[in-house]
Amino acid sequence: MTGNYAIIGEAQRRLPDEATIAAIRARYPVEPEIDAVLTRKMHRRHGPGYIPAALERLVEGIGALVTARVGYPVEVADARWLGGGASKLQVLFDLKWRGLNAKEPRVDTLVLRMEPSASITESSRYREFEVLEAVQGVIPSPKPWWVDGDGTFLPYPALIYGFVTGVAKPSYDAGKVTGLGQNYGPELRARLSGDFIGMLATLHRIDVHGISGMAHFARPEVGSNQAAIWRVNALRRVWEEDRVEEEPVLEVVYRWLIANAPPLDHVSIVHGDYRSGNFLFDEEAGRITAWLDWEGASLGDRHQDLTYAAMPSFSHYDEDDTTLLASGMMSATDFYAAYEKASGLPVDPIRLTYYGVFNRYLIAVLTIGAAARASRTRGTHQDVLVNYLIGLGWGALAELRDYFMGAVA
Amino acid sequence: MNLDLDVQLQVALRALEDTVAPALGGAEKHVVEQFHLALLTLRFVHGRLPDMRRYARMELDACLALARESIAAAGSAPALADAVGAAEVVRADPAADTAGVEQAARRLRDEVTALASATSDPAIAARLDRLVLEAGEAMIGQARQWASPFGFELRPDDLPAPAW
Repeated sequence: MTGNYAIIGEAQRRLPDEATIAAIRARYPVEPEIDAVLTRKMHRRHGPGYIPAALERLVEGIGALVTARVGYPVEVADARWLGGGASKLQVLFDLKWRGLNAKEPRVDTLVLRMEPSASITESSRYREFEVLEAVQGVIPSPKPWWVDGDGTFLPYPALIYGFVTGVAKPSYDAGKVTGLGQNYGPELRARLSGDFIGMLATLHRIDVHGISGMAHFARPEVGSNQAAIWRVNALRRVWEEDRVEEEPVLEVVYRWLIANAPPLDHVSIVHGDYRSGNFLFDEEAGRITAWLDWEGASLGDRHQDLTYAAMPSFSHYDEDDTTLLASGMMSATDFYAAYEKASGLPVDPIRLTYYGVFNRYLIAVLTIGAAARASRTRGTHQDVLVNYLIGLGWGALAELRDYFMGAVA
Repeated sequence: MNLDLDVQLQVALRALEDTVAPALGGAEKHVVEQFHLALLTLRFVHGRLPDMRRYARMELDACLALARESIAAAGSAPALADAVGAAEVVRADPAADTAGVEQAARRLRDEVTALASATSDPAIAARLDRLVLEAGEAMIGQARQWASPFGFELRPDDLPAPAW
């Protein structure tokens, strides 16, 4: 036997019983917190789907959460919806309070980030909160204030972090290029690429053994391939729980990813979604002001971030239509060389290939599998957007198949 | 039928495009975004609805072909052979509805995958995997063509022509 495959029907995906949930958990072991998140997702399928939350209800929940944490009443003012992202609800608001030490009155502009009932990326608010804590002062990112990881105060699990300034796109038309990735234009890309590479190098060099937090992250060991197995199994489990129909190519790839999982040579904080479009910048200064979307972070192999940033989906061709620019910055070859120089960590071609397959597998699973199920179960606040993203899926699957066949040839 | 589905979608789309869209000028960004995505989705349905049955039967044919090749490669595959038998009955039935055709294709997808995963002979397993990967090119290509109205394809003209 080379696999551990079992057929489960649509009825069990739609309304899974405990035996089905337990069987899937046993087949695809993952980190404890990821297990908790995915198991909660399956239990929610017996519920009503996403129930739209009125802004007033969220304001009430924010107030209750912060009051409970600081120990005195606070005021939440000027709350309004904040757009951006396909997976989480966000509310911008002003918090009128007296700080953690209950002294001088102050006003802080903060963001509530709450998950809906189902999501294209099921993730843990505890982990998102903890990784943001871990990178404070090292990587520009929103300051995490409070987390309601189990949805005690808010309708669904949520966290509150600081509002960060910057823009995601240039204010001018950077010109027409071929490709899906964000085009910053030649001048801005040259100025941003230093931060793009330098911050990734800094992130991956953080000494994770010196971090006392990150309690909801399992800690892999150097020399073990456990981190890769966890990550692959997490995606395989999502595919098992969410797919509408089987895509046999994905099982072939899954078995290869398990059989070829490389051992870690260095434990890094892996952002998991490090790419163009996921950072804010100061256009005038040409500097990155904040990295966003840390929900997919893990402790693992830096090559996951490296190959993700260079995915064709996040790239475009340069103005001469000859060179594919990784995340709109530079060629993948130049990107890897610059990263190696900045970080002092080696870039291994074998691991690049492995995580190139992994990240293509990830995109296919999340689009064809998770997005399809989340919208089908009326699980989100924007099913029509999540459903739309399924349209990306077959291009991603074709890209995975082609890349995989090249990798194993 | 007077209330044919094509016209129902056409009139709804026209109302949304000509009357509702211009009135959304001051709406919040996420409202406008969801409105345009809803329009795009309805246009997709409007364009693809006439081909839905043909597409489902084409997919079933592709799954049947892969299943038969897989059985030949494996030598023995009782569960997949059962699925092939059931799919052939559906395929031969001109009255079979689209949901039944889709169901038969999905069962084949499951059983083909299960066979390749459970085979203990490494040589046969490798052959089955190769069949899956090779068949994947055409099957995924057609799925991309089907989804192309969503606008994600960089070069839609390079996709294989519809085979449905």
